[in-house]
Amino acid sequence: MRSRVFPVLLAKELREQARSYRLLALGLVFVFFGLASPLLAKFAPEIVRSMTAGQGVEIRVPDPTAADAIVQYIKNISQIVLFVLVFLTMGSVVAEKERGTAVFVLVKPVSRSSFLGAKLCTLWLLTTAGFVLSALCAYAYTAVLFAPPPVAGFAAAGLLLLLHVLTFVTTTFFFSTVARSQVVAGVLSFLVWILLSSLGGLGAAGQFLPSRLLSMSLEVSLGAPASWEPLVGSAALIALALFGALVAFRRWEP
Amino acid sequence: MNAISTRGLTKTYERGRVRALDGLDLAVPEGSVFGFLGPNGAGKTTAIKILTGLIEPTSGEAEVAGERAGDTSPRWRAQIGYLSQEPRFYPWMTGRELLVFAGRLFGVGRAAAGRHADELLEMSGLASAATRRVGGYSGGMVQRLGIAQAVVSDPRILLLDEPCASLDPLGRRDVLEFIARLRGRATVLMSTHILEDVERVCDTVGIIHQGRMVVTAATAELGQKFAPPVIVLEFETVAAAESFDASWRAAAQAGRTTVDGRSVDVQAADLAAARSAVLAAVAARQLPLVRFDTRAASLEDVFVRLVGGRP
Repeated sequence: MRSRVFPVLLAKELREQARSYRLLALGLVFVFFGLASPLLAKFAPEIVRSMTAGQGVEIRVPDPTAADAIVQYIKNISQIVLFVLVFLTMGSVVAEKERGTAVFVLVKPVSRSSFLGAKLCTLWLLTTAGFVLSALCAYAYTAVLFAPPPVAGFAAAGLLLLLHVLTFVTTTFFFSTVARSQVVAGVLSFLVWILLSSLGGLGAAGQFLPSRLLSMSLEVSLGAPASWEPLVGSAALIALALFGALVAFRRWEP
Repeated sequence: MNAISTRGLTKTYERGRVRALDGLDLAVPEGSVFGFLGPNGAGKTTAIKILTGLIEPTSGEAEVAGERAGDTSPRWRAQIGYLSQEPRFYPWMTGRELLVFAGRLFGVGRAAAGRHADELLEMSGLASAATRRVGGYSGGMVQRLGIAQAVVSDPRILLLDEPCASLDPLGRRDVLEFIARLRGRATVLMSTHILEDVERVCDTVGIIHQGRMVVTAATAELGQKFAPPVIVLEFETVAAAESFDASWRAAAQAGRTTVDGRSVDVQAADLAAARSAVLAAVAARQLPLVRFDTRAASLEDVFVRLVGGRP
């Protein structure tokens, strides 16, 4: 029966995302930054020139390249889009605990791990779908405005960026499971994100942080090989967040 | 055979400082409608949550449908229906969608779950609101939907926490009639603070106070066993009723009195002696008596006597 229940829970989660317009909002944000990033890179020199026009200041900005478009894309996804994702994820479990709807489901033949699993799968699925859509937009627009980037390098960079995003979506999901309110879940999620993003200079240990995935993403898009440390570090953080969320949710008493 | 039983069930919070249940012993016979009665904070909701497996007891044992409560197996869960004290459902779903979703969680196919949802909506008087979003339902409609989702799997055991809360008199009557129809087919444990509801549908009553079971008995026998019969007096004026009460108390007569406007109830362990004493007291003060009657103790009398207050 349990195997039949999971698709039912998954379908409910997807329907909820669609009905609450979160699906639409997420799709629009991803597509917007996929298209806007190469555009911003292309017109950045002209924007700078127009801002300094008539001030007697001359700022020399090198002509933008496809690499600049990719840098812009990585920045936008890892900052603005991730901010939106954390905002949309922070209530995923705690809102159901607060509202009392989790009780309605958990007294049915639904295990707590299935309940969490369906929610996390939905988050990962939507994030990945939105990201792929956005990456396709970014690639196409970069090709139109500059030159087509190497497909393999762009795809590898995209996978690293996606792993970075999913890592913080998962830590937010963890806080949404353990916290008692959406506000607390959100604050803790943003704190951890800021903390892990600002500890990049920790020497050898810093190589394992998810923030290292961002610089590596750019390097990989330019043809450099990937290193394994941030992959292992991010995977470990995801595993820890999942384990913690499951233990906390099994102990939760409504 | 008992469908639900607990032995020494204890639940503490805040590192033992708050004791919600204090060695609760409960036995609910199979097929009965059991009224779980108690004042606010007595431990009713905590006990029911343990029986559903939502929370774990600190100590003691709880068995439901022959298994330890909290057994997470789908087979065990499929036998239990539950309505929480303040049911909350997904506001973005329609009533029908919610019942189909609930049915599908029990492994029922989409088409069969849809047909059953329509039957349940009809039964609960929500057929005309089937396609409306639950977020727009009134409190009474949510309560009806709550009962419908609790019986979606045709459970053997139904745990209802205040099932008549938020219902208007007609809704309350419908729900009580529905519960009464389940007698013999399912075991129902309903917590309530409405004594009239218990007297109307429950064949067994358990009174819980401060986390302990004070008494469990058949509803019909409860009055005879745990509270003496009552002499009912009605005077012409409120002043006369109060005067009688004052003189009765001043004379330290046996039998507790309850004054309600022009009426006075006197509990009488020895009915014959109390009857004579009451009439003598009325005659001595020449109080204008318009009614003199006796009745068996009600559930409220039992409750007041055992718990010391109204539920």
